[in-house]
Amino acid sequence: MRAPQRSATSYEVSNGVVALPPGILFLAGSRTLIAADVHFAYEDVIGGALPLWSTAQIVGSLLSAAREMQARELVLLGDVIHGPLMSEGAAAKVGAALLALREVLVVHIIAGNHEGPTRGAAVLGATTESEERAGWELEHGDRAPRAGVRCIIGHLHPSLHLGAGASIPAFVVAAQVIVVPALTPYSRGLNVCSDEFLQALQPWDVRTTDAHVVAADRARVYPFGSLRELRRMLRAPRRRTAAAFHRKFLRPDRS
Amino acid sequence: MSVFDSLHPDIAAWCRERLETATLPQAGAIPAGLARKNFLICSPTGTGKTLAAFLPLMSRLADRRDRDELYPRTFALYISPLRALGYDVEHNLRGPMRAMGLLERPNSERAAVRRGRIRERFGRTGVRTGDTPREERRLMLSRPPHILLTTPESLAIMLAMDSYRRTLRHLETVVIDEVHALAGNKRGAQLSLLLEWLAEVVERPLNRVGLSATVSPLERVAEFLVGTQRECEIVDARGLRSIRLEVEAPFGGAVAPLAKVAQTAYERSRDVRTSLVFTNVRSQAERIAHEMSLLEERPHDVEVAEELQGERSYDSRIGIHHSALERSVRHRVEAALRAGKLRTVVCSSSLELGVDIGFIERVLIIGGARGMTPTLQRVGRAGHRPGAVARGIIIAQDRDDIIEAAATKRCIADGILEPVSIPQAPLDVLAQWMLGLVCYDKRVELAQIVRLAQGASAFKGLAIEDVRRCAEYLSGAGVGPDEAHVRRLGYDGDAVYGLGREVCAAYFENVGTIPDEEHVTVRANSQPIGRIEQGFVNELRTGDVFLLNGRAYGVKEIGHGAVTVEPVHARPTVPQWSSHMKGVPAALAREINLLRTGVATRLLDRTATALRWLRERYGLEDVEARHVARYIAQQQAISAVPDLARPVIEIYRMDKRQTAVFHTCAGRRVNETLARVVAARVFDIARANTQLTSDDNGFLITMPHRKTLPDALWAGMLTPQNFERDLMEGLRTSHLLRNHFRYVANTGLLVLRRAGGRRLRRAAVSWNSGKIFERISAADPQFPLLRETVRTVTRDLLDAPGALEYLESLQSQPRVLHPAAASPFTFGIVTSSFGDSVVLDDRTSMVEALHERVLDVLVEPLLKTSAQ
Repeated sequence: MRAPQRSATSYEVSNGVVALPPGILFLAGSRTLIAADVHFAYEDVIGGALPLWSTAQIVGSLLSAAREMQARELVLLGDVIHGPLMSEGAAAKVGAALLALREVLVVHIIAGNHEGPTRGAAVLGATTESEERAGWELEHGDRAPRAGVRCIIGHLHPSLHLGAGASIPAFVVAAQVIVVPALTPYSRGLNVCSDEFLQALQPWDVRTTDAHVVAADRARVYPFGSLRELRRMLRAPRRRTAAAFHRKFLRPDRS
Repeated sequence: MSVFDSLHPDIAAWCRERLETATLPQAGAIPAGLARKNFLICSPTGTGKTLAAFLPLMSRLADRRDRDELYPRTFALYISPLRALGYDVEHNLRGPMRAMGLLERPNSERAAVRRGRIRERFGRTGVRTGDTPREERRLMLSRPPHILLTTPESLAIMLAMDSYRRTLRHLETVVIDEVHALAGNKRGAQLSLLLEWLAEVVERPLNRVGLSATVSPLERVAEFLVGTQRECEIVDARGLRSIRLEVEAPFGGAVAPLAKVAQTAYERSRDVRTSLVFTNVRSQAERIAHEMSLLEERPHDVEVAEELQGERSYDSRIGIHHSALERSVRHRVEAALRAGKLRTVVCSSSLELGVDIGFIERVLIIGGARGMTPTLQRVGRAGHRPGAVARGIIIAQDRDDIIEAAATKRCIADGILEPVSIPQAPLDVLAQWMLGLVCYDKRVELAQIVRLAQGASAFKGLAIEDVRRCAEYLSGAGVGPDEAHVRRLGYDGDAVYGLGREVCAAYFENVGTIPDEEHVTVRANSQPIGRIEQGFVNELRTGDVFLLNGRAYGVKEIGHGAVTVEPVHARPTVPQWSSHMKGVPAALAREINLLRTGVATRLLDRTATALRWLRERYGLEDVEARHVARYIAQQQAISAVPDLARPVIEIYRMDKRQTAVFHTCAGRRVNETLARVVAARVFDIARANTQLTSDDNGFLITMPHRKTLPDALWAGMLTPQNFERDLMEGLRTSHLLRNHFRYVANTGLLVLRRAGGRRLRRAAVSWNSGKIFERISAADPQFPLLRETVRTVTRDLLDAPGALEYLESLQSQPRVLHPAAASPFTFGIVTSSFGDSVVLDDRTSMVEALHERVLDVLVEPLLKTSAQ
């Protein structure tokens, strides 16, 4: 069982697997960045008369992580676009965003449920259903896992709810599965402490004692330790910032 | 000669037979209507104003029929804020029209008319709302009704569609019902723009008729009705009906337990044939109805069983009506009340507007209606016929309620009503209207938009720059330097133009200004029984018991979009689902202040002098007057009675924190504004984040642990210097702007509520709007919808001008006092801070305990001394 640790700019969640802010995973062996649920062109697909802020912001985060970790490739774990139907201008912007990433990294796109039956081909080009790196199967997570295969998935948008409507993305790490949080800023996420989240994790046969949680804000990651302990202690979360919340949680250790 | 003689002979004959003499609104409206003048009728409910508006229309319809000119065209449009009201009015028109020989009958002629062979010989009415079936809408297009009844939202849709617009070309008269319910909000602002648009569409000058319950000032409402460029005749019949308002306080100490309030309401409703019990929040309606039904002889569970088996039995003779109940349930209650099957209906404000509920003998108001206009509106539901006295009883729940009721009575007697405040140039409404103007492919010059909009009173101060910014945003110029790819319309610098049917779908799917709350259906035995807010459902757990439709239900299962419950015989375990408590308006707050200081001054002389004054000036009975005198004596003994020129600040230590209670008594909206200004100033001085609570009589600021301010600094908080800056600073750190941005973004079509034929989840829309608010605030502080959010919050929700005026009117610095225990005036403010997370009974017992403590410690000995 993992104990809570002090916050850091990166944290090794499993052998050779590093969690980075603001919710990106890094496989040290293959120098692979993994990001999930970026939902490019979200503003456009929902019909908002808005610039594609989130697309630009996410590309910035990924490029910065690539520089920092000297990454070689990027795997996007599905739901790369919010929907296959978008305006021409938005499609061109998504294309430009992928191009900017491809200038620095080799980009592999795994299709998710938001790509629809066309798998987003018109906007994204070629996609795959899964990839394999360092003994981990990389999938979107919208289908039942194969028995005995270790998976890294997205799809569930895990997050830690801090009360008063605030939340931060969180990785959930177990022996058989690592759930990567959504990188889109438009998702509040599914509370990792909720029963609904445990229910969603059922196909991967995860026990709360085995799983641990690592939250991430814009600059740091916060290892919260065992999911079971977290669920027990956070019946009524009150603190609103990740740092304050984390400090409160660490207090028993300090004493 | 009777005014009826000027009508068509058939109509006049019917009027003479059925109405005998014309009421004051009819006497004023008929000549104005026949002369095609614009007019506003302002009179209480039940004085024949709806008929007054329609009689000239019917007369003209009959004239047309006689001249064989009754073409299948819409000549008159009736707009009401409620769909139900449209259906009611249509239903009520049919009788007279049939009797006058105006309503079509023979089927054989219909087909001939449809084939265009003959002119019509009979008038037709039709209702077009969101509920109207597609087939009926289609028929309306091929054969438009002569009188069309609709809502502002449906009018917005009709005007944007060529096919409907063509049917409105021959319109002569537009009747707007319940103008008072529209004038002061964005829905009214939208309607005023639509009326200007309609005036452009019709071939001849449009005759505008407004029907309003008692409202003030009439000139402002008249301008809202006709716009800035037209004349309007006012038929003022506000004093037409006698109102008898009594106050009853069913308690001995400081507050009445809910069961006692319900018992009093039950007793006062038992000796009359029909009564309405008004509450201020839906949760309270549920509790009162529940308690009242327990007092009925018939066992509760038998009733529940009958209801679930099928049609509800009304043997209990107590019904409940509020907007969270299923429409069918509400309609059944209305029908049962009309038919005399129900004796009492407990409701929230849902029955305030003129939906037909038959004759009501008495109205009971629990707590108070928070204002003169709503009080008149509620009491006006009683004796709903000309000449009848409207009887109302306010059942006070605490001593503040007695004071509020007494002050309300005095204001009504003096003719003081809260003035209608028309929102000034709401840019979200403007943006939505602009898109409607260009649907699907029209081109409209910016100058024309400005000219049209400035004709509406809500937009008379509109600047062309605002129109330009809205056009830029809608055309995808985005926010700040960034470009948006979704374009609602095209803009070439001089004019805006439509981008086709597909793009305009956003308008048709999202038209309107009513905030969209996400609701969850409550089902018992697979039958829907009501709808509750998603926020409340989030707090529910399986096994919880809550009240709905006056009954206790246990939660069996919480699913997506539905909560399954079963009737149980148990006390509720969770608080109710909603609280939209209205605040006391500034005009009433002034009278409350006058009453308090008046009693305080007279108490210095003798208690009897104060009691006499309360009886004479406020018409209070002895018991209630003694309650008030005692309340104010207690306040005087323990602290001081604040007045408008010099407020009182009481400093306490509560839960080891310094707490300052500002007794400003300036009305809820002004108090809330002041609270935010003071919070910003405290932060500026002490770098401390405070907690705020405000209510009708003042506000409370709680400092964080170990942070305190000296008296001199507290006393200096209420100054007009840097008011604007401090208010904005106070708002910047609160959720108010961010939360409200969501509604502005929805109305202004920045973020849609519905897209592609489906409704977006409110939770998602809300979360997105919060994120978008942050981005826009950083990227473009002058973005029109951001400025509109600030305007809405500071002018419509809060009252920034009122708060500044209050601060400027203070003649000296407030008194800062340190009472040994919480003063009686502080009770209300402190209990507001408990919020609605406390079940009502618990809240009552907390107040009682606090009150007992104060009495024991300080006040009783002093009161005895003063009585001697």
